[in-house]
Amino acid sequence: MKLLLVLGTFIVVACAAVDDVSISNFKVGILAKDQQPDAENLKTVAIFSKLSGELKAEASQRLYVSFNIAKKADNAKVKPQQVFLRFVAQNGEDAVVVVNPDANGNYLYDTVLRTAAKSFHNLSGQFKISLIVGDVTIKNPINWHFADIDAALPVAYEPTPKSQQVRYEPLNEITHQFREPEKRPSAVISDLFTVVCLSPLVILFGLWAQIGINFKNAPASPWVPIFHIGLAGIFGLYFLFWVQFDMFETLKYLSVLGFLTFVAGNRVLRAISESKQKSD
Amino acid sequence: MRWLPTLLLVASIGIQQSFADRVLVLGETAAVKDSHSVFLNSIKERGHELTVRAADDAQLALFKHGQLIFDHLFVLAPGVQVFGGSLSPVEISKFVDAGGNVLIAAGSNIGDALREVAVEHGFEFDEAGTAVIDHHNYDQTLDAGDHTTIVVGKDQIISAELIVGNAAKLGPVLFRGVGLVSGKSNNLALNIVKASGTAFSSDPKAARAVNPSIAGSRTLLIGGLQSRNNARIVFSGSAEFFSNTFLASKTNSVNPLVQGASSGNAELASAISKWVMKESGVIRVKSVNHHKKGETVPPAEDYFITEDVVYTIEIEELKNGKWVPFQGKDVQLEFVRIDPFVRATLKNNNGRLSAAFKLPDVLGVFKFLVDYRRVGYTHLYDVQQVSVRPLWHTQYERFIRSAYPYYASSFSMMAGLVLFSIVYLYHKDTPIKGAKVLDSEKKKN
Repeated sequence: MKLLLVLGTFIVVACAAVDDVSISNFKVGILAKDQQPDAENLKTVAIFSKLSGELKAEASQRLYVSFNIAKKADNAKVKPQQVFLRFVAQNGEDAVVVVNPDANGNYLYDTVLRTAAKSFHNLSGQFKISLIVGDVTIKNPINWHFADIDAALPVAYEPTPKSQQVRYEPLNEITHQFREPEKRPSAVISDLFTVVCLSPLVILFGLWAQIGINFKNAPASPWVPIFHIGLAGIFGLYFLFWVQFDMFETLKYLSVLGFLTFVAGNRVLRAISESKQKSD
Repeated sequence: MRWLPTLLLVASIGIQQSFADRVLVLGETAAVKDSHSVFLNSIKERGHELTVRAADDAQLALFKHGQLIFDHLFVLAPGVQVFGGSLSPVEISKFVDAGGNVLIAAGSNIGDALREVAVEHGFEFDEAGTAVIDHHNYDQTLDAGDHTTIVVGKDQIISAELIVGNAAKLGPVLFRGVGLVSGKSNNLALNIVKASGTAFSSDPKAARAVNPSIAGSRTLLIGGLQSRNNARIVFSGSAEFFSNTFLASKTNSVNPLVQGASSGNAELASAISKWVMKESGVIRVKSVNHHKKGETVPPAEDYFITEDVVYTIEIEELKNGKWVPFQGKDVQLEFVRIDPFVRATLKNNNGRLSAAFKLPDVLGVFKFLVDYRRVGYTHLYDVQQVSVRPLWHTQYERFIRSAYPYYASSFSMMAGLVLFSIVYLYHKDTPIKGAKVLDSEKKKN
């Protein structure tokens, strides 16, 4: 029984599959919302040729395609299983719409692009449109790229959250932009100003030499050198603090030096005032 | 010490078992052993342990005491409506969550069970009774007259050698079965084999395809995904794709552009099964190291800003059952604090990938991040967290040339004070003859 069925199918197929079909009366055009199709706004395309020029369409306009499918042998109209328009976007993705026959068996696709675009999965821009006709009874299935269209279709922006993004390709490299170092004066200028800053000391020496300094007031006391060495020592300690010591070391030495200098200074001043009183 | 040999024996058995993966193969009946024997034997020859059962066997189970008792599940039973035993679509999802890999092969007589499994994993099979039809690419010899036995060209196969093998050498592939489409939100879906643009999914007996649910190259013939835990799942719309008949056939496409040749099904099925069983495309991290330039170990405490660092990661790939150095050249390292501050491509020196760069002049808690995701490979993700701190106050630059005026003025001031104190204290004025003497001075003298 099963064998008979299979055999039967084969016979049916064998009988049916001899047919070649052809497309005739193929017209395509872009129409405004309420525009009637006429000879002016539709273009006829000969089978297996391509419409010259690109169709341009807005989402509110209609794409109008009409044609007949007939057997080559006796020109009888047929209704194959597969009569599709396929839109291939530039990125290779495609969308397919079905073309239905009317009561007379003429095929007609007349849809506002906004409606058609609902099944386009957010494709927009330039498309290649093909007509695909196929059936088990058709010997020469047709896949005919008949026109290009530039259609501005509504595209819903649906971003994927970053946590759900899956990226398989390498990303662009990033190099960190470091902060620019602050601009500094040139060595010549800083050296010049170093000299300028040292000049008061030099001027001081010059003026002293001019007025002729003396040390006649110096009392003959052992505290005198101790005081001045101590004072110089404090500044020396200050220098060392800048160069290597930390605060604690510095304070340790300063407590000794400072005390010594304080006492010595006191004695020196006392000696000076005593010698003044004596001379008076 | 008497127990030592026993222990060694147990250990050696354990090791041997770990090489042989346990595969549960479900057919509509146990006859799948015969109809798909070539495919199943090829897997057995790769050293795996196959258990073939009918899909409605009442003893079926994937877990025992919470442990996986199979590593892989192959379902070559399109028509199954309800699985036997404890097996169910939910159970299969649990199996995948636990790291099990699944290969599902359906057909036009697809039952609810497989459709549910597909939905659980972000795919959708078309309804029972439908088939992928392609009037432009059917096989003239094998087709029964409804143009559902289709011949798949190379350009419809994903360009990922790890999944499909060397697609350039692959012969045309035969397929007969139900269409598949990946879910809109399934970002992990891989279109392993897609249909040609002229194909559509419909009831083959329908006189006219009025509303095909899937059409064009959006239709998948074989889809797959690698879940976030690296478990792999492949859905094939056709169980016959793996059958002895298709594996041994010669193709005879109606499309004159596709030359007749021995079908590539055997090679493709073998490659896909290797991928799904994690025999190919598995990588792992062997070691990670990062340190300052010129050193060999990470710093004891923290990195400081603008230091030169070297990052090295060793990656291994599983090839023919052995871990060998990974040879990929597009692994990237990111140095991330919320957003990446540095992204560098690692230089591969026989499995040791390294990059050297200067830390940004920004403090904070950073991560050395390698997030390597490529089609076919397991997801490699490694994070090393480090702190980058600002400089100590003693680490800044000292004795700056342009600050010399400041140094000079302060120290000349100190020297001046020392000298001036001497002069001020001990200088004695010699009165100049003829000079005016102030009244106050007079009084004083």
